[in-house]
Amino acid sequence: MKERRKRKVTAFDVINITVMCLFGVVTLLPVLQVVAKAFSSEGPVIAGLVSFWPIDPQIDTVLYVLKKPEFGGSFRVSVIVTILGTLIAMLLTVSVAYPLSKPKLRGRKFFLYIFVFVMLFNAGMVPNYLMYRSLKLINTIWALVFSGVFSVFNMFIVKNYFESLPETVEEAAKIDGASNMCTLVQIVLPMSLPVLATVTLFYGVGFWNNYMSGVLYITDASLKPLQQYLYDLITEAMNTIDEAGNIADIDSAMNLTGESVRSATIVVSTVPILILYPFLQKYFVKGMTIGSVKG
Amino acid sequence: MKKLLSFFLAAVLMLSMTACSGGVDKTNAGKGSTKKPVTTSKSGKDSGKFNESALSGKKPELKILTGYEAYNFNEQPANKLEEEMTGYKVKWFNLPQENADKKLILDISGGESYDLIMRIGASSANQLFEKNALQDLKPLLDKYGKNILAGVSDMALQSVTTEDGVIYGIPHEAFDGPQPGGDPYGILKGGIGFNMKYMKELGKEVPANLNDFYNVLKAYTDKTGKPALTTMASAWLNYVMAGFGMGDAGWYEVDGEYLPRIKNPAVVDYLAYMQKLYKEGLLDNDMPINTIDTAKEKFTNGTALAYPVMFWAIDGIYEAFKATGSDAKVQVATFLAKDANTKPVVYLRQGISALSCIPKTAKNPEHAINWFNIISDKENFKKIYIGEEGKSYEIKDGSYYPIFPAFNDFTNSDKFTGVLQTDVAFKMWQARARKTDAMAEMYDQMNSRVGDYEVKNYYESYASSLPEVRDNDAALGTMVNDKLIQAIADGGDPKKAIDNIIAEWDKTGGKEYEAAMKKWHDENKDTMK
Repeated sequence: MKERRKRKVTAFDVINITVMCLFGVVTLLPVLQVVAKAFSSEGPVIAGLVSFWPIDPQIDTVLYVLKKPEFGGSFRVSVIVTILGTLIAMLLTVSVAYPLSKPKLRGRKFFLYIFVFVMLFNAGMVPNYLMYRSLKLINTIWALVFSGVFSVFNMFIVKNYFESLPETVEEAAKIDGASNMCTLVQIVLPMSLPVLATVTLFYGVGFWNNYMSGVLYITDASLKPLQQYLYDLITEAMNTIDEAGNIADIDSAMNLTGESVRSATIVVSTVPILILYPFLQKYFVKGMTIGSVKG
Repeated sequence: MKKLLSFFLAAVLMLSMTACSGGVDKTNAGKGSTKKPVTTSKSGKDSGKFNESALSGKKPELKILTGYEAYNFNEQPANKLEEEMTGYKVKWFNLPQENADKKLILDISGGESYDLIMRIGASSANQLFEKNALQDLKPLLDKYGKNILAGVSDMALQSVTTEDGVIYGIPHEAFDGPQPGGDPYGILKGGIGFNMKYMKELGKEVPANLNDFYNVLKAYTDKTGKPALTTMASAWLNYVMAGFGMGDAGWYEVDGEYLPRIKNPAVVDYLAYMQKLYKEGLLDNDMPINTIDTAKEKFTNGTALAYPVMFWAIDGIYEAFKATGSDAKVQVATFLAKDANTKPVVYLRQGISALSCIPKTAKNPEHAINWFNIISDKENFKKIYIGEEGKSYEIKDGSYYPIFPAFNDFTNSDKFTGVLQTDVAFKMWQARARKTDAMAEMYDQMNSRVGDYEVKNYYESYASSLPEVRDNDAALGTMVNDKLIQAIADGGDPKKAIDNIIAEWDKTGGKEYEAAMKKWHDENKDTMK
């Protein structure tokens, strides 16, 4: 066992760590302010008194957001899309990555080129929209699911990981009579938990944060995903003012959502992904590097 | 054989994956191109053949597309009320807030079969019409739209009628005030709000003209060293512009010539006045980067003496004062006069705020117009908009007041209404303006001396369907606003600054815009009083 060498702490280390810590804190401050605003009364928020700690604390605003049918509906849509989408995405990703990780697969290079090609070039918004229309997916939850259901990048991460697994383990399973499917499910996948967790997180976060699909494919308010709901809420004031700063729509201007309600909505909608993150974090860094080229 | 089958299955699976992938998420709406719908002639004459017995039989569910709102239309009390009133079940769809125009064109050109597109911007409707996507409403209105035709002014109808008589939209006219010559009470909805605690300390009265306004601001800044007036980043402070004979209007008739605001000779004096306020620190020097929220913060936390206040914002302002430990009240200087001997001027919009149209892909155009006609009946409009007298609103001294909690059901009802003569609708709207005691008090305070004002009606939004307006208005408006803010902050020669902006205006489409507006003005000036 190697003896751990004691390293002298230099001035550079101290400055480096201090700067990095400060940087970390600075990135956290806006989040803290949004949380503080969510739990403050409207008055201190309007007066700009809230910095990083709630003033005149209350939870009524958060409760109001939770009870709002529009928020509840969008939240439900995003949860369903995230769970359903991630499950289907993982199934498809593994189904493609596994055969492509086998050098003996005939036409492997051809398929890999096709995947690389679509990574760089895609049909674009209008053809995709027309395809979704012709498949009658517009204003259905499947439009939100299918628009992010397969990522070539994620597939390559999983494929590279599968390639790094020792061939001998699979050979041993085959000798014991395991089929391809059995080898994949019982041998390869349990050995690939880090990469599966990472890619699951990628897909999960991707589905949760998906905004454009809602804009493109959804006009039914009951199917609006949470990110679209959030964006609309945060920027709704733009609707009411014209280029010269005049009020263009008085009735809408009178009903604008207050700053503390907007903050509470952001906080509440961030919670699910924050809860998920710590459980998958331990796999996250490992999985990111594990599929990469080894030295 | 088994190997061949495996290869085939793997190939199908992978090809299907390549089709599904491609990063739709990475695209953005701005890159889209549009495809023309499969439609017939633009003249719309083909669309006059409507089924005579179209309204017989079971009423279909109508699909209506409308603009973004923060709420779900399908769950609003007004939707339920309309279902009972009209007998039609309506499924509402909403455009997104961002890139709504592009999404609208994508949907319609993709063949989506909405029965009605309700309350979209005039330029969006115009674009759809140019893309040959809208039905001619004339035969439908003649047959099923009696209430609609009665609720729309001739000028509004004319603005959506082409030379060959095609009507491509139902105009929703703005009811910012009465029709010309009507009772002006209620037209003032905002002004420069003053913190009266500070005003008392200064021993000053709320100013009514430009000189007094300057003196009050100067007294505060001299005393405290703080900026007296704060506002969001906007070059056009209409309450101050009033002192220079301008206001919310974007176009002015000066010596018989119809000119955009930037070419109004009074703009130079206005700029010089604003530069003076800025240079002397009376106007917040952060104005060019202020948002509404930051400006409001500075007013409510006691930094600034004055801030433009709309009457509906007053409850939040008082709450914020309370949070800072202040019991200050706000009084408002509405549109300022040039001097003590001049009558203050207020510009009042008469025009179109939105259009409703029927796409050629609609499956039930006759039913859609019939539905719209029912909700445009005067009594039905009132029921949808503010409810029933004695239940959700009351009339005191000829003014409308809300009755709570019943009025809560009508918070979002404005987007469900049809069309009605603007002065009738304006009276009803005032119930909304009095939703809280503070709002009512502020609204009435603002309008307490409305009789002293010279009301000038402006009509330019009737021209918003012109292609030259659609193509240039937003971009030129933003350019002028940005450059004027810069000129206020720079403090250079005002005449030179305005000349530079005018040169940019002429270079970037302003000339075409002006020519079209002048032509429109010449054709319509007799009807504009």
